[in-house]
Amino acid sequence: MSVLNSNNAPDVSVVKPHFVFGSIALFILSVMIILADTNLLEAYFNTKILAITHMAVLGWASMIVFGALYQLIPVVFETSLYSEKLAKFTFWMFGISILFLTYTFWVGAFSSLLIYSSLLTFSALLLFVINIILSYRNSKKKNISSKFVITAIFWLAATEVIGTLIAFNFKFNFLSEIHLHYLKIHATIGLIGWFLLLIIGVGSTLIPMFLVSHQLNENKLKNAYAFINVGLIALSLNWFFINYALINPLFWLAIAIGVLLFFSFVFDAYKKRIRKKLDIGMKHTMISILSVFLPISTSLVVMMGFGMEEKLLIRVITLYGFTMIFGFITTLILGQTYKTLPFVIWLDKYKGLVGKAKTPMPRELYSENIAKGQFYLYLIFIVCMISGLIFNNIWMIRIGSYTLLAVSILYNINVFKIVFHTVKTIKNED
Amino acid sequence: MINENKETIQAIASINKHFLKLKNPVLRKVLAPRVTVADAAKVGGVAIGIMIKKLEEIGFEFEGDTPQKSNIDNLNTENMSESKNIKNLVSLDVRPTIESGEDPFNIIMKAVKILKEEETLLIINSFEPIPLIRKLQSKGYESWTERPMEGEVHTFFRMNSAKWVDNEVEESVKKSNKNFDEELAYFSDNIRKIDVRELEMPEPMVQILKEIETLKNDQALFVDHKKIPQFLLPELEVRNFDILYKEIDCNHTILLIYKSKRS
Repeated sequence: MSVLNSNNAPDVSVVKPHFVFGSIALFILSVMIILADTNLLEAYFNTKILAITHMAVLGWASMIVFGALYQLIPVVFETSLYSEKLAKFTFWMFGISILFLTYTFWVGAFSSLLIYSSLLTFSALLLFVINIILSYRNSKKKNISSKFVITAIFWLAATEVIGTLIAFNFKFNFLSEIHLHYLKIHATIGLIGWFLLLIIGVGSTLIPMFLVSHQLNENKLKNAYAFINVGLIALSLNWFFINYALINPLFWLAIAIGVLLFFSFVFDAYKKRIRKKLDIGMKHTMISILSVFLPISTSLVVMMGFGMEEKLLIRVITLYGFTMIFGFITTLILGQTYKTLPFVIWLDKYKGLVGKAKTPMPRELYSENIAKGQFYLYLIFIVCMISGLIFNNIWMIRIGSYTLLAVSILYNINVFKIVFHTVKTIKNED
Repeated sequence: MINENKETIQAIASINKHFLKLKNPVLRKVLAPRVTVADAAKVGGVAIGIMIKKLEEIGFEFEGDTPQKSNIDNLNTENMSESKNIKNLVSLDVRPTIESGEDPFNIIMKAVKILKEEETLLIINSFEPIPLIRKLQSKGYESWTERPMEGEVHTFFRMNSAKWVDNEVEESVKKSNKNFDEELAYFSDNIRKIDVRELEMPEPMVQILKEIETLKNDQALFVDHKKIPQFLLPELEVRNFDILYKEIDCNHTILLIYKSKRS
């Protein structure tokens, strides 16, 4: 018997604030990057870069990912979100903790404030993790996409734990290794375990849906899942307990193969797509997927060293983080915002009118030209920052920073246009 | 009567228990009012007519399963003529038509058309004409069946007036027991088809909602879709449409959407 639980979609008031916070965070982030200036070319563990990184991965990327994931749970899990109240509470707690944590890093209050701000962040993230796990338990659809998503959630929990331990280390110094070693593990499982797996999970559902492609090979995803997770688990265990550097390339290879399998899955979807013309959201998305080769190659350079001088190596490490966070994750989020947010708002405002009157389409809720401008400026930003980091050129960094500011302003204009959209209809003629 | 009443309650309860096993939201919704009918009858013993109707329904729903079946059936036949208060009976024996190899459907529908409000139509047949019953119930007729002898089924149709609420309950229980194929067969000639698999989100939803605006009560919309349209479901409920689905493979789901008969 096929009876459907009809209302799985979360209320718009759960999803919307995440996008508003996220887009403002992108603006703050761009200002922080301008202020950090020459700090960006220094060692990656300086206070400014730590603050920028956390604003980027939590305030910007994770915040929007949370909102989008709440909306997508009916699609990926085929169940409703466990608790909308908890999600709203988590939003406020998470928002405050991000501002607090970023401030702590920015001013370098490692021994005084960090312990509190990291605990607050830890608790907020834990509530999110619990909400998603409890939703997953009700899930009827345990396919490969939902497996990626739920595994990403576990990696997020692991990232939090290690991050919080590092914070405690500054205060009590109880970990045996220096905190930079743990910072490396924290960053790796955060970027690969949380972001990459989540993106593959959600992307493997959404990208074929938006491209309208059929008959894709799910085995690639299943293999990708195995390769990435085995590689990442082995890598973290090695770092934690053995720290035998010579076998790391093997784990790197496993993860890289997994990522390439996902890439190949998306490439199939791209080739088999029925909608030939890519809209602005999908252009971003495709550039993002293509840019996955940047962190793959930079991470190889970081791992092998290739006899580089210390100063260059340090900038390459920053470059690795940059290509992952801005090249891959941010590009994808910028693009997917144009696919998800207009739909969320459109559904909320027009659901009663669809079919009865002529309604605008979700893509008509934002300005296409602003989105295009934002897209090309963003590409300039990426190129400027990469060349600035490689050639140690502060002027390229500065041009890049101001370009990002422009990007964030254009993005904010469109997001607010969508969020504050007022209902327009033309009576149906036919 | 008390004895029989007890049996009724037991019978309904046993159905309920059976239904409860199915974790089925629609069924649950439907069962709640149903239990109320039984409870009401138990408490007041008022709606004897309804009770008898229930009994009769149970009688044929459990055909072949229950040893007391013939008991209940006999009871029905005895009480039916009194409780239903049949005036102006128009009877139509369709057995000769069937024997001659023709479909009696059109003859019956003609008879239904000229049926006056105070008249009751009796169809004499060798089996219970379930599709016909559904069809006419959806047009607002109430119906009941008697089995005066082996191999002869009397089906009565009357324009429904006072017992509308009760009919609703019955209707939805039947409906929720049907599966996709049965429902599809039921609508067979009155199906509109659309394929939304090649449309980009949210076009499928827009197309479906547009189509159902012009869908008639006895029509169904058949949709080829990629997946279960999660965000469409609440909108269908608001617009009072029912939806059934069947998964063909991971890239193809077929949907059947029709005006909910509960209202």
